[in-house]
Amino acid sequence: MTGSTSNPSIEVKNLAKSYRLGSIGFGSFIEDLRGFGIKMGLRCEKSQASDFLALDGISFTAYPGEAVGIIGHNGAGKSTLLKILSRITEPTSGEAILRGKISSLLEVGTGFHPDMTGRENIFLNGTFLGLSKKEIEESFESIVRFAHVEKFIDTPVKRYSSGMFVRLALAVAAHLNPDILIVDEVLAVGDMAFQKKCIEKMQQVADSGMTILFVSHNLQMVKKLCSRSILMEKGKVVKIGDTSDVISSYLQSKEQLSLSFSSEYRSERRRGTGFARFNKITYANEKGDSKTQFEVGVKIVFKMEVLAIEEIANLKILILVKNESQQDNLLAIEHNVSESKLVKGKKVSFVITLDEHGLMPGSYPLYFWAGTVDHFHFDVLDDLLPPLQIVSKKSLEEKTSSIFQSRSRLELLCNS
Amino acid sequence: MSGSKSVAIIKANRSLLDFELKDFLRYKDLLFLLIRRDFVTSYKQTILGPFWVVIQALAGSAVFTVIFGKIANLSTDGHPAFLFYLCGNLGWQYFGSVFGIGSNALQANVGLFSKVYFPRFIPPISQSISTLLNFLIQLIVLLVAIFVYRSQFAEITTIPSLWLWLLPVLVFQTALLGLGMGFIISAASVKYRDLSRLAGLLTQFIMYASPIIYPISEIPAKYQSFLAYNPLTFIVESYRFLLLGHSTGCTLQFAIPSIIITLSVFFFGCILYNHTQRTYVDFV
Repeated sequence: MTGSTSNPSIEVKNLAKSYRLGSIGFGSFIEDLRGFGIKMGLRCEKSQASDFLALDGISFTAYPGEAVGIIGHNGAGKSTLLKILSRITEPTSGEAILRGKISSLLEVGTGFHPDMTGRENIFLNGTFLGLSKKEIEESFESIVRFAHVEKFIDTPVKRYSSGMFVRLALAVAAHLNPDILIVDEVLAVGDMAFQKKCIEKMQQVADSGMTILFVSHNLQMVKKLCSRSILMEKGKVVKIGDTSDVISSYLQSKEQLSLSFSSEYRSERRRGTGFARFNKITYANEKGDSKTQFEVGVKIVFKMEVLAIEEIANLKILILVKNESQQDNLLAIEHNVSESKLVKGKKVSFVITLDEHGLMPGSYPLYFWAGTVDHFHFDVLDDLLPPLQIVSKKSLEEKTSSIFQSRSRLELLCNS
Repeated sequence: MSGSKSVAIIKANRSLLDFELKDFLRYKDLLFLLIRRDFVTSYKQTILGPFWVVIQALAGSAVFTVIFGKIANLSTDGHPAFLFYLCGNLGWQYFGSVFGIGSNALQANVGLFSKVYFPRFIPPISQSISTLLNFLIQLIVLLVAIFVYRSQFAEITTIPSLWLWLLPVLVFQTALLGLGMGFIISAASVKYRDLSRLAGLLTQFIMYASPIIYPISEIPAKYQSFLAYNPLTFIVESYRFLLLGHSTGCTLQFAIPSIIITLSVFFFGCILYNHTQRTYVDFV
């Protein structure tokens, strides 16, 4: 590493990426023809298509030996940034300079073939990630030991349990030894103990001079691994600095989000027919103080208001509490609000109290759904609101229980 | 780690000719492993394994022999009809599979391409090489068939030419043309998938526009110069020249346009493919 410590290993300058909104079909073909006509010097009407800036002038640097976290709401542009830095797609403008060997893990087990043995897949996956055959041979023993699959190394991976499969894939990833490692959420797939093992391994390599860029919704993991973090919002860098500072302003911005929430909020990302919209959702404790952080075992109160945009009836509400990777639903809270008709413009407000839940400390993305008993979707919010933050009581040790029991109830406040 | 650190610069609007050849060398092990993977997995869970290729080749040529040889009574340039079609299919099917691989390269690999960087030329090239296995099997079938015919019928003069050692060069040209045309289709159909439909139609059209079921000698002389601009004319006729001993289309008159067109199509296809792969995951 002689002399290179002064050079940043990642230099991102004014990176931007725009996507065109709308679907591809006959309409976009006409647009393309128009664009071509303008290029050829014909006088055509200017294109009406709207561009969406997924990244809007991102700049930052990272130095060797540094682990940098990237956090932000869904749709803030984190994945787009990683895709560009991993050379999967190109930016629309701007530049990024990466010094050294790059490995990026946007997925676990890239290129694994079910019919091939564990041994063959280690080589295949390793070369996909940029290793040479020789490098894999050198760390082969260590990979097998790390994944703990010695007995099954010559068995086709389609006979592996899903746990073994993930362990093997992550073990290859842990032995990449690049100068720059780009990681997106992939660690969320392993079990807790193995995740810890991977984090430790990553910390080790980071200390040896590797630069890590780490995107995760798991704030605790970011805090553990990264000294510095970047907060992104709507394609821009909002804050760079000490991880705990950045995390607290992230949580604050989520908090603000929930206060300024209305029926129009982020309508472009809300799904459903729009016949009714959530007008207000706040999380509170039993006393009614609104907050997003709760201690383990404390009752959680969701105050909600739904606005009928059209006439609706049989309103039903569903709240899903998801795990951090958003792959599994931990709790499904379902309530029928009222059978009566709601005329256009009317609001209904109610409170759903989660009396019991087995949620352990962590951050839990939420999914809100409003519809009818017979499954018409009016409004769907996928992780658009702050996640539930569950923190441990000081005296309470972390339990390892993974069975969730819940009890909840609904109270109608007014039907104005 | 120090000293020879590679520097990657990521920016928009790179040169059309920036093929990332340096990376290609770095990933050469991947190329070999992918070829091996295809070899190992292509006949998994089949009973007859590679014999399917033999059966396909024999059955396909038998059908051609009956329909085009016996019923339509097309000339086969003095060769036994069965050998003539076996040889025509050999070159055509390799071209067809490479064309298919190329025209599907971006679409079939989107799962990989959207998750990890490696030179995007590697999957189509490795597949074009591993599909040579089928070509080799068909080649052996043809050589055995020639031997059987000669030992059964004294009047048959069909025998591989002394120029047979040039076969790899011809196969290489076939691959370049197939990949080049395929790359154009693949790149063009990223945004508008209509074009991939066209590819299927095109394959059929090309087959009948090329001397696969008929020899070029059957075409009136005034149209022959026109057909010389179909690069496959020279290719198919050359397979016949090398493997069956004689044909009329393996001359400079056919070779020059065919080679020039092949190289230009390949070059143009590579540029288009390379340019498209840089951002195509945004569209699919």
